[in-house]
Amino acid sequence: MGIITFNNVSYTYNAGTEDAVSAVKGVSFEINEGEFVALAGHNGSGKSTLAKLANGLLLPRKGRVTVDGIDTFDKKRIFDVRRTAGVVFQNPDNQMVASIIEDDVAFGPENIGLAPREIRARVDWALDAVGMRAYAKATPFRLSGGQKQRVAIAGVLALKPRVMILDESTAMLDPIGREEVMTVIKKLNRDENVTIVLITHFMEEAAQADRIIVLNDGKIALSGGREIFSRADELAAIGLDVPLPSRIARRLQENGLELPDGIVTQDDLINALEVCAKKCP
Amino acid sequence: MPVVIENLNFTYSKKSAYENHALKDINLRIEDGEFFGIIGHTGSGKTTLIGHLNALLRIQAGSITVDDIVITPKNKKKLDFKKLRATLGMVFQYPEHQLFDETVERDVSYGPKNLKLSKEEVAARAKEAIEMVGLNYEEIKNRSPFDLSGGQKRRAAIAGVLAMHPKILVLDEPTAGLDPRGKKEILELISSIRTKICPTVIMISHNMDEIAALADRIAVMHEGKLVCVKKPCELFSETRLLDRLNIKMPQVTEIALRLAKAGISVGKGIVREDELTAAILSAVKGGIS
Amino acid sequence: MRDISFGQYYAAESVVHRLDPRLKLILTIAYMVLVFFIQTFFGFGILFVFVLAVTFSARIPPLRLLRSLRTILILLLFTISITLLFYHNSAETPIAEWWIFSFYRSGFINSGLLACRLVLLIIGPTLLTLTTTPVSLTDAIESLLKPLSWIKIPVHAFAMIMSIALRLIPTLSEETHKIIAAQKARGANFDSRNPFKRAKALIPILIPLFVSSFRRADELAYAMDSRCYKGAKGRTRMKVMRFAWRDLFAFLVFGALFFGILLLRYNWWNWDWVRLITQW
Repeated sequence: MGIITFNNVSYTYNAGTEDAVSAVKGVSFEINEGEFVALAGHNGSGKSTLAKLANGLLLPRKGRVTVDGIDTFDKKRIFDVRRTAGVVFQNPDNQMVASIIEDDVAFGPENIGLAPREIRARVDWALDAVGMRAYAKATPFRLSGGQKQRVAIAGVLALKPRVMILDESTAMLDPIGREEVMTVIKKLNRDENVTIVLITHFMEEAAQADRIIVLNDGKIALSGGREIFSRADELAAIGLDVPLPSRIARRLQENGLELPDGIVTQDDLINALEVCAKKCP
Repeated sequence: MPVVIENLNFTYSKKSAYENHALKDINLRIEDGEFFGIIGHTGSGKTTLIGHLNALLRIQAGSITVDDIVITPKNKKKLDFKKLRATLGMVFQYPEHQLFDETVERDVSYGPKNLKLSKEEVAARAKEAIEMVGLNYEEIKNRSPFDLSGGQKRRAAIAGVLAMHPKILVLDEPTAGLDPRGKKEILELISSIRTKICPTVIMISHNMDEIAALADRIAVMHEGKLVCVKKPCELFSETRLLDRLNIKMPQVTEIALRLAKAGISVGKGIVREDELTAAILSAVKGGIS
Repeated sequence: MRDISFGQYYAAESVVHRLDPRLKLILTIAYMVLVFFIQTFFGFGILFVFVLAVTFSARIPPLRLLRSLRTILILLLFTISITLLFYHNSAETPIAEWWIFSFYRSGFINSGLLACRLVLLIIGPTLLTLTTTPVSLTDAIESLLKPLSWIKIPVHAFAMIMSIALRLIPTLSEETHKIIAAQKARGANFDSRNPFKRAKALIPILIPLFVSSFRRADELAYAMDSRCYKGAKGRTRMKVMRFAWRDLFAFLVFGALFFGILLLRYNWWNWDWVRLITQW
């Protein structure tokens, strides 16, 4: 069984009132331990609701969510759920509790009642993992957006979660900050075997995942490996882009160049064009 | 009349431990009808620079001319602020955070009302601005701005600035935080604002793909200095400069450069997708003939 | 921009900085009580020497300390002149007269003592806040008030609120500046002389500020929940406040000072030298 499973899950905000908004509609999927999965979709497609459902911040109106086999409805074990699946949110300013960085990272471990020495060790380890140890005693106020978000990641990491869900954690950052965050999460996935669920509307970021789940209107519209980017029309119809190299490749194909399908990254495009150029003369 | 900045210097918290020389000898001229881009890292002085253009920051040294209004350290207190702020409209980052009134129409009317225009004029301008940003006036005018979707909120906030009838529009990262569809809509909106009501646009952006495709010229700010002002195709062919300032290239330019290295010569100064496609086609197909 | 959340904390490595904040807080309160027991210049002199010693061992530039006195300078001048002007003692002949006021020798002495008392009173908490961050002060208050939680007073919740407030003050002040700039750019005028108009002009600032504060609070609550926050129950701390030898030392030094000052005042054993000193 996957580390996170969604079984026919639905969620409605303000259920039973005039303002009822159905955000997630009968979604089923499974995420396996060690995977790097991207959840893509435009604003309002229900992707952030999925993040909150995945660690019991919201409970499904219908269906079941399990984390490491624990049902999120199981009130007694809700903190086991949250220790297993941590969430990093969008705005780094709105997820820091303390005025000193190491105190903020310590917040999670303190909540689960670890011994002071163990907390210290985890805080140092987490700050090292995101490359922010040098700022341990500083205030978050003067940091750049990317640095703040790395501190937020360390704050979740200090709970030693097996899954880290990043709920649009790159949306408010500049390109350099986004790259910082992407580098850190790929490293965590590779070196610490942390399962990553990256929620994003940047398709270049989604393209770096092992698997992509595309949401539209509360339902799964597409899902699969990078080959989904060849379905540019379907993606455009639901308000998403394809990565630039895919777009260029497609235009070139339309203009008569013989390129293979499934071009997603710059490397793909350049390799394909090299092959193409050699064939031509 | 253009925007002219001469010898502009600015220091935050003068004579304290936190003193920060944020602008150093800035000289700049932005022509009428130009789409002018400003890039640079956080803290490079971009925001301080545009804060001077409508006197939100008190000028310390140098002079600025906006349309026919001259701002100098001597006249900084006697300026006609209302005229200046109506002439130069400013859309800040996340402008939807400034929405406050009960209805969209009233919120958009806030600027014109501050200009002490007649009731009829205020109402006419609000309607015109709401329609300009692509919102349905009748449907939306009596709704609370807080009930709109993210993209709609941003457009309503931009309408609030357009209702001032600016001759120059300044936008600070207008697409920040939006999804691809929202981004596209805002960029299209900016193009139509340019053709219909306000041809001179100054835009700050962190997104090089965006700014390279849109701007006529781009100013590069670094540590309070204006490094250069160049056309996108010139700026992004200067690999060394970009490396030194740690500025990313537009993806299109990066691909073009890598292709050139791989022996597919696509020519220099490519910043737009259509340019790249055409160049690849001619380079590869040119090989056939 | 100055970091408001740090208050007037003066960052330095010193024994005073490292003292247990709980002890510092208690000693500061004891110190302020002590100030009221002193009635002679000699007593104030001893306290001044003590304060100077603390300042030097905390490596705080004396000028920095004086600067925090600047804020009460007006209050100080006001109280001194009022005391001087209105002091009346029918048993004494005035040493000078001016308009309707008469000045007495004991009047000068009294206002001098008052000035000393005020200055020393302010210096105590100033030294505390110069050497202790608001965060550790909050922790100290939480720790000291812990007994109150036995009678169901939510001490932990209050401390949590305090520390989040400290964390958010800079963020919200930045946000306020941004909103003000945005509304000014739309022609807002906050300089009207009419107080009614001025109050009305604040609405376009306050409403966006409230809206964003609520949004932040919402998001923060989610973030805290997902990091397993469940109140004081079962919660531990990374930084445990421990009584160290330096704390005992500080306690003894202050204890000796406290005892000495009280001895000067009450002279329980009727020692002649004490009487001599105090008459001087």
